[in-house]
Amino acid sequence: MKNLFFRLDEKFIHAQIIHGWLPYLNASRIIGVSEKYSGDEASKRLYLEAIPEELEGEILSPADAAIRVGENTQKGVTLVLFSSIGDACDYIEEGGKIGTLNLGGLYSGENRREYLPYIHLNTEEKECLSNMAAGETDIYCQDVPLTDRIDFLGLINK
Amino acid sequence: MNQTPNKEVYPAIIFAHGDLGDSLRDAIEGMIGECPYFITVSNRGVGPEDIESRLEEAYSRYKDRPAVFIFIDLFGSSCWKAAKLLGMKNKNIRIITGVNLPMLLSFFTKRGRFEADDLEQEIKLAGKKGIEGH
Repeated sequence: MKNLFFRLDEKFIHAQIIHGWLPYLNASRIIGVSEKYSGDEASKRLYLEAIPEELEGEILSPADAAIRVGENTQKGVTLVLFSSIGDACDYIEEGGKIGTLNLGGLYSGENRREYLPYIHLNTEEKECLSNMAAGETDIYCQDVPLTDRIDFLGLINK
Repeated sequence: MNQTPNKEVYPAIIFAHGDLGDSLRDAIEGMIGECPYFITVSNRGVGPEDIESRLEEAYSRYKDRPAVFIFIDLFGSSCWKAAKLLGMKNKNIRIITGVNLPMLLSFFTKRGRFEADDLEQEIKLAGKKGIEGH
């Protein structure tokens, strides 16, 4: 997992990522993992256009990402960004490994409960992430780089 | 450059993070007075599913105008992506990123005197000229 930083953010590639996390991590590559956007050429093109020129960028399906994420990690830090909880779960089901997962940008929606201003989950999503956290993945919440980390299991079991 | 009074007064939308749009509006109107045909929209608290509809709602008020200028704060942001997607469906949209006060002051003092293409060039130039280092 060296040189890999995993984040889940429903806004996917956006200002917090481009102007916050990427420079903070000094990343040289970003891999967007999204079943939805990997198959949507218009959105995919816009997201790739948004990535700073000096960085390598790709948008892959969870299945392709499970194979490709580990490639070329010696070149520098890679930010692996999931666009949904489902994408992160599918990535693991396809054989991908996530040592530590940063959660941020899970927005309010139908049947979702607010745990933090930037973390909203429904029962199914909470269970999915809890199962992940009970396995091989440490999960913490942190929307932007210069704020404190909040342990996910501690938060939902309050 | 085509500069004639009484041309179309192009509407403007600022779509930006936090209170930036409202703050810019407050600053501009404090300098030049009330600006009609001007809407500010924030992306605060809006998830990916709703961000496009929030912009679309503002745009719908001006959709029949020959040109609508949408000012975005950050290239590559969710606001930018929503504007680009809306612009693919509506050819009268002009997207300007890196919104700043000089750019907006140029826009609001010159619209009505320039064709849309010329106005776009004018405001981009004003936005860049506003950046100096000493």
